[in-house]
Amino acid sequence: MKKDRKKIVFFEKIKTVFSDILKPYVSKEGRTFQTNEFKVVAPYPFGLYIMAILVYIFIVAWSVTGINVGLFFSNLSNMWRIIGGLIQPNFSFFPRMIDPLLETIQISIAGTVVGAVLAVPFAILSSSNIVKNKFVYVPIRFLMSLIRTIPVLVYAAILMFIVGMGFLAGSIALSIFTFTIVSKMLYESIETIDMLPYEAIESTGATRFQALRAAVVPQVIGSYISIVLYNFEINIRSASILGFVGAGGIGILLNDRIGWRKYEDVGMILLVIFAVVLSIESLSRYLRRRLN
Amino acid sequence: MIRFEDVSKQYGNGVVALKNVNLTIEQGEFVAIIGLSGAGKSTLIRLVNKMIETTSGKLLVNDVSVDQSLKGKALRKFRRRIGMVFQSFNLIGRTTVLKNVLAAKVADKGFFASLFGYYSKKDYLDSLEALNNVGILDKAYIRADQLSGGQMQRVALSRTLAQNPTIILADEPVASLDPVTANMIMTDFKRINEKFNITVIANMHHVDVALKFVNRIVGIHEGEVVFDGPSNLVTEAILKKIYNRELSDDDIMFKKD
Repeated sequence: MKKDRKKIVFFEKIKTVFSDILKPYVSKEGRTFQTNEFKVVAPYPFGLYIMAILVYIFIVAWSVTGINVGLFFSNLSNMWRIIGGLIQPNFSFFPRMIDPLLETIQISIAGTVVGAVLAVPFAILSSSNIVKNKFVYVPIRFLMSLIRTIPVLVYAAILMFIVGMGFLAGSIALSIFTFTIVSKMLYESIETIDMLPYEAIESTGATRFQALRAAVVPQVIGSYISIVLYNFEINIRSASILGFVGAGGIGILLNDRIGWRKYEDVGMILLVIFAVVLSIESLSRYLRRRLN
Repeated sequence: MIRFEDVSKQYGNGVVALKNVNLTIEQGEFVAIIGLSGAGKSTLIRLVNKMIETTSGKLLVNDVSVDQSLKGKALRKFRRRIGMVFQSFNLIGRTTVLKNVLAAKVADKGFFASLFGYYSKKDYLDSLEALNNVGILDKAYIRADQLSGGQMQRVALSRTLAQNPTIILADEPVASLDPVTANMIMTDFKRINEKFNITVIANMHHVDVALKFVNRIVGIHEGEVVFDGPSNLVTEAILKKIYNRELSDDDIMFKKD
């Protein structure tokens, strides 16, 4: 008897859940909340359909790409061998890394500085509160997103045909990347500022450029520096793998060592990259916190 | 001297903000413009430095005709001598008080001086003197967003003074301040008006503040000037004409005892 009641309660709960969540899909009307005083009908829910579509896409993608999970497990022994090498880094390899490592840092500094400076005028031209003309800022934003869609490695690979292998290709590729990211983040920051001081300075007879410099720059300079530092962090990481396509830096060495299956050396390189990235990240985080 | 001759303003959406305004304001006068919100007070003030353009009529400011032909460099030069103070102060919060005042000087600078934010020693002295004139010299190197509302309005006033203006346009200068602070700011305005013989035109929402500090009152109702005269001639009947209703508590800043 008691068990039956429990069962009934359970089915009641299922029914409630069904009528609360699924019924709106069936009845073509959103959930209704009614008292004596008011009646609120929620808008028709789409959530479940979107979920169904996402699950469907996942299943299709899985079957089309033909992912073979079994292969991963049958070759597991290979992975253990590689990991075994990586966790025993070859410290005597360090001297050979110093030059490429310095080159990596130089590439990211050069790329960050050039890209960040070039981004400023384009960020201003993309800000709808500064340039009120849609025909100016919409095309510029479109152009920027176009440049942004191409991955940094593709730029590096293309640039190698133009400027040759090494330092320059990597620096230019990174400055293009930095340019697009900084300009986007900066214009979004410019669009959130208080425009009333700008109006006040304009009323003193200043030109728009002067009002911009006096009223807008003090409001965004902090976030600009923060954005640039953040990009520097990303660039250090990107610069480490630029060498895979031959664009200079430690990536060349990394690619070479992987090719020779010298996993102890690879482990050493990764350890050093890890240390450099971590220290630059914490330095930049410290500086950015000081700014706010 | 500022002279409005049959000035009207119609906005693009068809709203008529001002109708045939005739007004002459002599150099050194302190004028308060009162009326309901939406009556056209802000429009009237903004016509003077051409932040808004007149639709018809003639407007003469310091012998300059403010019309379509006034633009570009000439307009900027014209604006140099007209200061403006706002209800929300419009300061740059993230920088120092002194930098805010110096910003009034940027209009005189060339391209490179503006770019690098360079100001001469005289600019600094002028700005500090302007701060001294409203008694907040000690705040010069404090960030503007650290100040109280009254202090912020004083910084805005010094910024305007640093412009060395002949006219100050004040758009609801005390509407967002408490009564005590409002009193002090109005006293500042009055003192500056008398000391430097600067014309002050102030939009005022609070009738009692206007009557207490200002000698000439202009009442606007639905875009038309319905009263223009000394404050001691303003009667209950006139106020009823301007406001088209009895005064409410919102129109009074200082509580009656």
